[in-house]
Amino acid sequence: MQLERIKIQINQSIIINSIDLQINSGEIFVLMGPSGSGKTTLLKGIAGLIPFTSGKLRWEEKHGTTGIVFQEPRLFPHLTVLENIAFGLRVKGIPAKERRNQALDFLKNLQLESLESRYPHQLSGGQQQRVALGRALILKPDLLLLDEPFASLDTSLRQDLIEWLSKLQRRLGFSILWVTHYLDEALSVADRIGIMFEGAIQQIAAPAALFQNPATEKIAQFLSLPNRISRKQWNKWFQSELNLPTTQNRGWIDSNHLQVIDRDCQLRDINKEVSSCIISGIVTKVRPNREGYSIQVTSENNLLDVNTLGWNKIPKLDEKISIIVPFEKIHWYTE
Amino acid sequence: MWRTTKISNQLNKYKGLLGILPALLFMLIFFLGGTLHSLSLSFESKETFSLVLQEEKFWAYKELINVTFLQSIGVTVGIAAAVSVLSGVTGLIASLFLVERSRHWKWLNIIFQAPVGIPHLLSAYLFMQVLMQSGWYSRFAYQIGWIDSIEAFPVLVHDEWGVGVILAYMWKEVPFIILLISPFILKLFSDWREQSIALGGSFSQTVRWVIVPILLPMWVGGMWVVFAFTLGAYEIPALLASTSFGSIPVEAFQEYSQFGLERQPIAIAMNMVLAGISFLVGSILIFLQLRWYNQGRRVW
Repeated sequence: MQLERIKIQINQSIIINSIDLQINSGEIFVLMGPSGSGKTTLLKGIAGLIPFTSGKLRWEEKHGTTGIVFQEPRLFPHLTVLENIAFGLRVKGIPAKERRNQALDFLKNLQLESLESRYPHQLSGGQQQRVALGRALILKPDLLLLDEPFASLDTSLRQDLIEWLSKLQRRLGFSILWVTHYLDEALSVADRIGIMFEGAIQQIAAPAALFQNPATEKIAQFLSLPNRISRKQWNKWFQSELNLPTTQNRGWIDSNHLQVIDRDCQLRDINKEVSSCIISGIVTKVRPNREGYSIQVTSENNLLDVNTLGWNKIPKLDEKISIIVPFEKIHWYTE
Repeated sequence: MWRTTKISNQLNKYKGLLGILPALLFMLIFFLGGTLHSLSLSFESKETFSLVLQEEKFWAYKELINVTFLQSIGVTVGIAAAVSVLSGVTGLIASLFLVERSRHWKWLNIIFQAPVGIPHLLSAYLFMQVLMQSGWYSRFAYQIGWIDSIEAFPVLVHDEWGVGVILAYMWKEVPFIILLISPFILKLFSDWREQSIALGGSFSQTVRWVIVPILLPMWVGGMWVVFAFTLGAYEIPALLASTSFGSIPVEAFQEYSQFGLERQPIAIAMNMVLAGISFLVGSILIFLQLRWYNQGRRVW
């Protein structure tokens, strides 16, 4: 599917502004962005629920089909699981017996055998969402549009369903345009990720590339990248003009790559390392995590998030500490 | 310190009932009391003289067992059924139209709801003025040459089939159905229309397979209210139906008001028969509704 300069205007306000996007066959494309950025509107536009003000939607073949699943399962409450799944087939005019057989057959894919006679309120949240997915997938769409489909489920169930859907997608081979605000969800399924702000896609990249090279500070902030510091400050800490392209004026480093060091024992040895620098700062916040402690350190009016390993040594508030920063672990980007 | 006793526990358990106590007492005193009194009046015995003085039990009901009254039941129930079904269907179609269009034409809602505030007697009078052979429509049709004479206009008032009665009732009851169901249709559209379209459903398929089935209990309930009301209403058939029409409420009123106190049990018995029919139809609908829900369906 290819979107060309798509624009959607509702009541004089432009919700989607000139979007170009191509989704390849069998690809999972994850769309992320803050609330109100226009993700759902774009999905509804592609599904034909909202008209495009301008622009074109093209398919690899002459005509393509879409299926959409929303955050809430939206199952018809007066219909059984089987009738819900067969609804789209009924719309297509497929005879009752045939659509029943098809729907029964499809229940195996959904791992919902023996639940065909139940009504939506008699199902768990996860089962309801699987029925909603099945209802869209039985129509064999070329592109499945998912609007935060598992957002209302608890974490473990969400992870199970993501795993299940990924397997199903690999087996059936349809493409997915998946809107989510969960970074872990995006990273576990995405072939590519698009970041959307104010009705426009700001960056499209493979998940790893997106983290390594966020296109703007706004995207880096949206991705919650830690320790985003200006190049000027890094220059100061490294006590030299860093050899980087001029456009790369900010750098971030993961909290796990900052190491708290013992000033007395290690300082002399580490200083010899050309590719590292030592930052001194004051501990302003301490909280435990799965591997040790997450601490916040203030240094020259900059806040640094640092993760320590092990629980034996508990960092103290207002304690003066030193942190070693390896240069090669800093990812540079343009503000 | 607050101490819980058996009595306070019981009071606490049933305190919710206190809220509906005034309505419950009203129902018990006026409705149930009135019903029991009417029943006893209609079951009253009558002293008859043949060779000896005899007491005839259930005489009012016995007097009603005749072909004419059975025909009247057929006419009255038939008219009520026709009015409720036609009002229900017309109200549903109009509500769908209003929900579709009211975003642009708010004034349409006001026009459709205006007849609810008009008394039945006045609506019957208005219908007479416009639908009689000497009424506005017939004169208008004659003036523009659609009909050769005023008598050529179809007989819609005091007619044999009760067309005028049905139309007058519909004029009042269609807005009632619209008032009852259109907010729900609006809600159902906002909940389900998008999903149905996403699955390829057309407007008509969405209405037939989603909106109407979910609306069914409320829609049928509304039609039953219209049926029960029309079954017992007096003014419109009194004004618009022919004298030989056989509407039971009209006949009962005549029995009650024109033939003396001794005929009043007959009038009450006639109305008790209507109440029985209404209760029976309501019970059947409740039974069907419970069966519909017991299969596991939900509407919200």
